[in-house]
Amino acid sequence: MTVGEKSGNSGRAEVLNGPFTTRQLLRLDDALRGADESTGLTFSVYVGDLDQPVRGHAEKLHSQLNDPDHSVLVAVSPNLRVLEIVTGHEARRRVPDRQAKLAALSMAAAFSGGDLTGGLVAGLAQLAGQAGKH
Amino acid sequence: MFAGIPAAVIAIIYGLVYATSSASNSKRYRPGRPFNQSTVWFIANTPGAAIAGHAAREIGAGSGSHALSGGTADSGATTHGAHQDDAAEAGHDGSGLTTVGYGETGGASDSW
Repeated sequence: MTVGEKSGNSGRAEVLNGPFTTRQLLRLDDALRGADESTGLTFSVYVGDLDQPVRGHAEKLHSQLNDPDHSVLVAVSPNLRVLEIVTGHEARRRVPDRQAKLAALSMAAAFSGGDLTGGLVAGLAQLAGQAGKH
Repeated sequence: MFAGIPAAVIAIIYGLVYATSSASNSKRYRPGRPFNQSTVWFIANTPGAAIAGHAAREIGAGSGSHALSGGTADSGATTHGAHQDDAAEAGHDGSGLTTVGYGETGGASDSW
């Protein structure tokens, strides 16, 4: 689901103008739901422009989630070719920064090949696997 | 006839392949090329998962990242600076990986 959809806005129509096909959206949905259900954390994926400083913007997005302490945000800026993984206070205990960095490395490798969906799905699986069962 | 039918078959197959590939590649991300797709932000479709505040709604409406409660304010820049300092303190661990210091949020950054 998109943020706009959750908020009762026209997110469903807008997401079709995004970078993903319907099949890719289904893969992402599966990955997000699986990560959430297995870990108890809230995983979120943002793909779009990020303002400078990128880390600050990603942290601001993360703070807008309902429960930032138990949330993990993956923010990707295809134009800047950067990605940020932001873990909340509690989520950080489950996903140490070193493991987040490893997930970021694998995602960046996929992104450099033009595979946004594959990188996100693999990265989410890696982060969820590291967080373990709740 | 012996030339027309094979030529027609080739033309049909070529048309089908070209039409499907161009449609599927229109959204494909190509590193180094401008990325003009709408900004999207996903959360899992599970109860309790929601976004606090009202500014985030505008992401789904296709507006740019500048709509995110003012984008990066001074506080964001401060946070970024602290993150960089922490990362510098944490330093390299010898394996080429950098880690950020302990604070309110953790995570990692990378580029490609």
